[in-house]
Amino acid sequence: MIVSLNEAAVMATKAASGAGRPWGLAQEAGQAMAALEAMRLPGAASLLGLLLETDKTPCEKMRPISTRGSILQGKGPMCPILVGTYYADSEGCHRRTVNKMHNVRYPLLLLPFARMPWDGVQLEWQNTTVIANFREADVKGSGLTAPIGETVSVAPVDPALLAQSSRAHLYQPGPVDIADEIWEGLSAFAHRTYVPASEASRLKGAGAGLTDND
Amino acid sequence: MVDAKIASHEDARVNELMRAPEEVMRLARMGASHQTRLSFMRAILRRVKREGWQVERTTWQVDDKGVGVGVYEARGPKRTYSLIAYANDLPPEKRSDRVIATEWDASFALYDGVPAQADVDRLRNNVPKQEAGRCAASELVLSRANRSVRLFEHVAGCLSQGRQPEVAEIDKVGYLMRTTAVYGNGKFGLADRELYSTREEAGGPFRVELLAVWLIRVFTVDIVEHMARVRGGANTVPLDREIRRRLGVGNSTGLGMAPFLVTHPALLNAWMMARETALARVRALPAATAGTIGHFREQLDRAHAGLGRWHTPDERQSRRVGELSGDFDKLKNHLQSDAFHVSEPWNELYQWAVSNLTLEGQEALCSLMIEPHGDLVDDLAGKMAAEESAAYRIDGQMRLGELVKLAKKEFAWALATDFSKHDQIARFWYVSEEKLEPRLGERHEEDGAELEQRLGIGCEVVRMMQALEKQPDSTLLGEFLLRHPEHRHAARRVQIAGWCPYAEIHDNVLSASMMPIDMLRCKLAFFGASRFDPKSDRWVRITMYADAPFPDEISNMEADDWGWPLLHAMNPT
Repeated sequence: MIVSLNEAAVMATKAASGAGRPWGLAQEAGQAMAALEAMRLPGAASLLGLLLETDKTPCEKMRPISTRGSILQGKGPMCPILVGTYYADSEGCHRRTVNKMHNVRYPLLLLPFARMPWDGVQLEWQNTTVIANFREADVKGSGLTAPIGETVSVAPVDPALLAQSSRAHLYQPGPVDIADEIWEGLSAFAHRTYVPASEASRLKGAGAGLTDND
Repeated sequence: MVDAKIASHEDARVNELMRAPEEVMRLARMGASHQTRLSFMRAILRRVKREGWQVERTTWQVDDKGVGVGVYEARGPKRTYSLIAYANDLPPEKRSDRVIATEWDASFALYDGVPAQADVDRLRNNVPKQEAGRCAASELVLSRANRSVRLFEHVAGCLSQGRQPEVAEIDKVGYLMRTTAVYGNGKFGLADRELYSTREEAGGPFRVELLAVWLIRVFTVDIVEHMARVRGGANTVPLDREIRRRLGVGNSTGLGMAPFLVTHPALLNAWMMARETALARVRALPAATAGTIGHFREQLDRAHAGLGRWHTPDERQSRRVGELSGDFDKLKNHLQSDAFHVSEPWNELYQWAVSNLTLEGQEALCSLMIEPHGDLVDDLAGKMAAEESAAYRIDGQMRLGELVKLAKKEFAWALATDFSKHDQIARFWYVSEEKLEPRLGERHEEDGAELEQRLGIGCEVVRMMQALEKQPDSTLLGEFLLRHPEHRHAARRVQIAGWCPYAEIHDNVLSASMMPIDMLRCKLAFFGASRFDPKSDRWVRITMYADAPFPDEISNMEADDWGWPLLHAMNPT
């Protein structure tokens, strides 16, 4: 399915909301997925995987339990949107005191947040390294859609490193191609946020019910 | 140095005279908004004139039933935008303004550039289906329109018989066709706004959408003349230019548009800030020149006379139009005194209006005061764009004490509202499964409130404030939001309000007494619409570009003298 970035962001926001994320967090998920897709990185596949594995899980169970020290760790696997927003809100956890995150689901979804405080940022997990800023990303390794980042390290880097890369994923506004089954998966979550029509709401809800042949 | 001092003194005075958000952002006042010279349609035509845009109909393949396609190329200095119009022969029973319609009298796409035949063919299979079709990034706008059957028939009939239509009939309706949606920004596969937002001519708000509407206006006349020729053959006459100019494009808008103002706080702030700055600049002028006074008086006469063409069967709006006429009488009376021979005469006039006129009258006066001061305010029309993403990031290093202080300042109206009362949360906004469009439900009577859209920002901020009562002031917001992500949305809105003073509507949009048309009217006035004709508390018809020049005459005409109808147009011979 070829969709505009706006459609992608709206769909992802609704899907995250449909999976039980609070609205403000769902909006972050929507922006993050669109930002990754705009770099032709598999944001939609990652988000769908995350939502399927954490459907209706309370945020309480997916957040870091300790935010002191240099490591973020939860009771179980952490949600990358919760961890990512915390990292960005806290300006890279107070400028770099945090640099390790243990047990993060779909760590690629951290990227849009991890780059916010820095001119360039490097994320590493298992056999994967991503260096990125807002304009481009350089990817090494094959674990881009890994369901778990066992230990994700986050570090600011010199953005000049990107200039030397030949594997750059450039930010390109405009339509993106999302596999039909992924789009349908997100649509199914989004569908939960819609209210079925009744005859009364059809007429009343939009406020019409007038004749238009005038 | 001296100049800089003067400038800084003037700026300070302008700042003093800015109307406060708690005054401007009330729904009652927003629902009394009028177009101004900063409105988007007017800014578009000023540019079209200044840059010498040329519009040409390059394709017209329409059969005797009125079915076919027309293409209109609008050529600017750097780029061409083309309206592709698909004309349909619609059975009357299928004609509906509502979003649940599946066929229309005409459908349109604004193409980025000049379409090849393959594009016209591709879009023929998609554009007439509207929401059920798909567009591509080469299309910027998707729209559709239905005929005003009564006026369309009258005009086609008269022209086919070699005579002009009755002006009174034209004025009763005001348009041959009304659009029922004008989509942009990535909807249904269209180009994302980001793809063209850096273009000078397309970066302002709704520039491509309203350029499309201006071209649709040409199509509505072309199709009526075409149908007249089918009937009348050689007897047919073209529509007289003066009569033609009275015609705008109608628009019928329901609830779908209302949430926009709530979901685009940075943009709403930019629009309001521009208009309020324009008003404050005028009020800060130490004196009025003879030229501006004359211009103002002329516009006032035109606005007053123009009320004769503002028809609405809606009781509330009809009464308000009557009151506005009374306000104009009062204003003219007041101006017989030495109203302009005082210091800061425009400010004095505004202060007088606040004590003497209705909200309709006060807001009309704001527009009229801004009108003669193009040199002073037109730069602001270029500062009305804002990208919401720039306002998105939360400063999590803010202390909760500071957030509370900010919320108390920016959301005082909400904190004074008792959201435990039934009537304060009587409504809920939701998205309908059927058409994926925003709707309004009654919380205490209908199902679905658990799926409500988060538009009640005031209510959310109050809930966040209740949660914050138990938190130490010194806690960092980032730490709080990690434990309470349910308050993330409210926290973001409080921070946005901190630097965007006009970002929030200072009224409860969940209340039983809330009128969604107030939101619609505010937005449509910024577009440049006129003759608001409410069909219910959540549905309004309007007219766009009425009295504005057509593309084939704009080079020989004043481009921007149509905000209030010309007097000679009031009394046609």
